[in-house]
Amino acid sequence: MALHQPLLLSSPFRVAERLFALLGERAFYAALGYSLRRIALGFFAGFLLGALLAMLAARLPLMEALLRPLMVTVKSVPVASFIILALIWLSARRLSAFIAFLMVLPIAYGNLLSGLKSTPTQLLEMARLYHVSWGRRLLYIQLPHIKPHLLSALTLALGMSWKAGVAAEVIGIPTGSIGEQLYQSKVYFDLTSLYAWTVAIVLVSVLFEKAVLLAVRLLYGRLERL
Amino acid sequence: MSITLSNICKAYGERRVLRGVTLDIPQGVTCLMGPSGCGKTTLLRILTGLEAPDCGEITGVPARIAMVFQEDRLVDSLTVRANLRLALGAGYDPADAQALLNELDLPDALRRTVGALSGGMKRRVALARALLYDAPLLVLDEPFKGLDETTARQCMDALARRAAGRAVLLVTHDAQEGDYLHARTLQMEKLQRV
Repeated sequence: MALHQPLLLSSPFRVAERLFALLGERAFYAALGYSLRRIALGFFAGFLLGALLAMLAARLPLMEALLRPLMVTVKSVPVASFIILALIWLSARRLSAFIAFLMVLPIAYGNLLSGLKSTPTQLLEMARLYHVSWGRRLLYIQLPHIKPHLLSALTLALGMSWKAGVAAEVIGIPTGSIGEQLYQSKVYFDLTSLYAWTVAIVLVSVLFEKAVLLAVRLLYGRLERL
Repeated sequence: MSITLSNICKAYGERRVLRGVTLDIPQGVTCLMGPSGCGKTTLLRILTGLEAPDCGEITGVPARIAMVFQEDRLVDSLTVRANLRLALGAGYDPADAQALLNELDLPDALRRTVGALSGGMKRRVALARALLYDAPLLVLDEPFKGLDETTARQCMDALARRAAGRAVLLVTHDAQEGDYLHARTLQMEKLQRV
């Protein structure tokens, strides 16, 4: 069915044209940088805290029991509810970082905990017998073992942090963010810009994901050649 | 140094595996033999502190113990060097490691990934790890299992050279290994209290 109605569905040509026009604007890069900084900050903070909590929970069953309801709650509550609640406590500028943090935390925690708990007991027993220090155990036994869990957590969390972070910006409308641009597109019913910004978000999100995964794979490569 | 296990008992549910086992382990090689399932590995696990006995007393066990387990217990995704570093820590000496690997006919193994090694090569790496570890007690659970005769002899020669001044408890099903190593040989059934 041909709509012939650019208001409802822009042609790929018009979207590409708009995207190239955006690429020539300083505001475009400023908006990308604004959102990227905040979402990346939230992502790394959430992943780091999730990893630390997973390490604690893997050693202390009480910690795991205490954290379970918290993680289930964070995973189950709709993102929109968190965004609206967070808007009451936080300024719109910090919203996307906080929401990305919240989305990433349970993903990192759950995947890494499952990886750490499935570390072969035979290897841990060997490490105990040879008085292997905590640091060496982490580096040589647990890091190689959790590699598939870590990569899976990263892939999931990277995509989720961008989706949730930009959604938070659309609701919070911080000045100079990608979310603000999307919101403006909606207000002015400028679907061509909306599609162009969506393509840009997808590209940046994919590049961010590839860069993080490449860095992790390079680190693993070094570890495997030690 | 004299290590003594007195009246060691261990049961798993209704199954009594060790019934008052008494054993002393002096310096040199002590070879422990017996049929499968008679409790040899359980005794080794109790000696090394990996399991607690139900009764009995153990004295003289040093803080540092090197062990070759029945399984190789190596990290497959890492190199041989990383596996040795994992266990040896600051005690890892690259020259000594290379010299021992040469003796074990693994001259190019250090940089190779363990997952790419054959079963026999992994077994020798597990033995190298135990021999390189600075411990007065070596506990070896069928360390030459799966090796051909020539390779097993190379390993036994390396063991004999590095066992000097140490107590070695070797579990095997092959009496010839004990003879080759001039070991004191004990039968597990005779150590159990009747």
